Amino acid sequence: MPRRSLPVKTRAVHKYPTPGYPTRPQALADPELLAENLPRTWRGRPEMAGAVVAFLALNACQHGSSKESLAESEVRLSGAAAPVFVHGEGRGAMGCVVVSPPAFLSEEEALQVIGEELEGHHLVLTQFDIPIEGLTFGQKEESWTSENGEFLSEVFDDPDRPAVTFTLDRATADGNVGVEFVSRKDYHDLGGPRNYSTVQGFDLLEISGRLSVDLGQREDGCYYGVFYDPMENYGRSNWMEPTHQMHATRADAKERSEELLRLQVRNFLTWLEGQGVL
Amino acid sequence: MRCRYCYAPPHGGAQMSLETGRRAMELACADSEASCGVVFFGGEPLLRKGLIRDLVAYGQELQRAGRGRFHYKLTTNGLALDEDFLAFAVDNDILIALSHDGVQEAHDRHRRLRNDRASWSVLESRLRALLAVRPYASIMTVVNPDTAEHLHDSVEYLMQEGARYLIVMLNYDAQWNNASFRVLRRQLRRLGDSYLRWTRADRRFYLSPFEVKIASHVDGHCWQEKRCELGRRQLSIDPSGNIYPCVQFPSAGAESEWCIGDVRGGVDEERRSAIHALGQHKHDSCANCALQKRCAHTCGCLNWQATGRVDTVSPVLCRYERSMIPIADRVAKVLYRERNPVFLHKQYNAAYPILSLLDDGQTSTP
Repeated sequence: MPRRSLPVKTRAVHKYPTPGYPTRPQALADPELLAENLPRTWRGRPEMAGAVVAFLALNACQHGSSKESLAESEVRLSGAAAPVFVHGEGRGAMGCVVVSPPAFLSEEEALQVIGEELEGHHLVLTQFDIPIEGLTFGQKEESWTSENGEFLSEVFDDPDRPAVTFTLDRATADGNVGVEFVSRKDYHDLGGPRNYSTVQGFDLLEISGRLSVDLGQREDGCYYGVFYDPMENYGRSNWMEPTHQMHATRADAKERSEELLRLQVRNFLTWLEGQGVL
Repeated sequence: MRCRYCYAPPHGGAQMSLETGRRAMELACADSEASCGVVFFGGEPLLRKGLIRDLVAYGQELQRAGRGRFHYKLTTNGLALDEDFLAFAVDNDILIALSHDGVQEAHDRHRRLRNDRASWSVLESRLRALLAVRPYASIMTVVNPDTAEHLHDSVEYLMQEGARYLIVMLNYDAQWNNASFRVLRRQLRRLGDSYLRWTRADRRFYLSPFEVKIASHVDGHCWQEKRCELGRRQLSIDPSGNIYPCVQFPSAGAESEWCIGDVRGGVDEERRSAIHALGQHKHDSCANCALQKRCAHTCGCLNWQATGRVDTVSPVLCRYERSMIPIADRVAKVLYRERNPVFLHKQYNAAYPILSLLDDGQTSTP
């Protein structure tokens, strides 16, 4: 039989999460699951309810199911978080002595970019600001001390501020894909230290990495992508530079940041494909 | 008809004789006391209605004599499906599977009549007549790269016409590429959304790519055991009485390595075992794949159709499985989290098909 080569290729999926629904033995270990969830047209019909009870009883005899076995084999909703894809420095500082400050992207600007890229692959983010229960970040403070002419940083827990529950920026309607853009605004909420001096440093890349690890451990069936602001600089070489030129330079920097962010999102999409989500 | 993707096109008009059919049935029930399934397929089996009637009568004769038990299924393009034969099928419990590709744009692209005329409009009344007496008749839809864009609308159309048991298959032998797969994946996602909608609306249906992939997780290793074992669970017999391991292989011919005997001399067991062993081949490309236990890559017949080798996985199948499994899992996860009663009973209650029939008062078998 004549064959022709096909442009699609075989490829192994190296990692695939446990589906977010149980196997038959796991489901039937809880007899109430079926007995308490009868299809609408079966309710009020004793013969249908009786048949379900009979089936469950038969199943229990065959498999010896019990509540204990459910606990042992409880469905674990798997999930995964992509690594943070590094495009852009993601670090910088703002304050009096900083001559080359970063041009931060706003959440709206960044989520616009992320949304555009994902929608190109038919992932539409329709859920907004989803609290992720159980994932909290203690608040930190940073202070500087001078010792023998050297400035030393010390980070400690901020006793005056309660821990903050993480809120995911966006997710698809089914909760299968979720994204977080780590912005300047998020920095402190995610455990980045506050500095009450005149200079505030930001390490969004490091914070994003930690967040990605935390999300990856949740196994809640969601595939998370964590992106960070590349924080491109817009340094002024001449302090006498007219203000309108400065704005132009900042706009250029933001444009570069957006392009770097796009690269992060495209890497994430490739990762999703590798996971079998796309 | 002259369907463009047919894997069993006419070969010189050869027709099976009654004698060959009878010998095939005797052979089928010789070694088993279990009910033996007889599937009439072609070409187009309804061109030989008389032979089908005679063979069903012969099956009853064998059964009365205690020499075998039979159940029947027939795969047809529907053109020759008339009231008379439908009544015969109902009387004799013959399940009918109708090949129908859905909306007119999809169906008429490949399912052409002998004179290259379109066949969709001819089939409308046949489809309705079949579903009126057999709502759970299998409707088999083949998707090609150039019809993928119509997949969702095709399934929706068939559901609107009353179909409840839909089997959607890819033409694995077609020239799929990344672009056509993107279209297909989009359609499968849309279908997933409709699956959610239909299930939430308490509709009873079976939609093969979803049910099969969900079952591959729900039933775990049992699902592996249910899969086709080349040359073991079913045999195909061509009009001359030659025996092959599956429905795709008669096109290879009696001189080919795939012919494993004939109805007069019986099955060459050595050859059958060799072919079965080929089908059990462990595919290196799948060794590290997390989806291998849920995937149909072990279907030797399908691999042969697409690659010309039983032991070489079809890249189209691989790509399809990688697309389909996450979509099916997404749908199942949503319905499970909602504790949707129809979903729960359909997937986890083994008595669901019977209870479902009791519920809607139908007499046909899902």
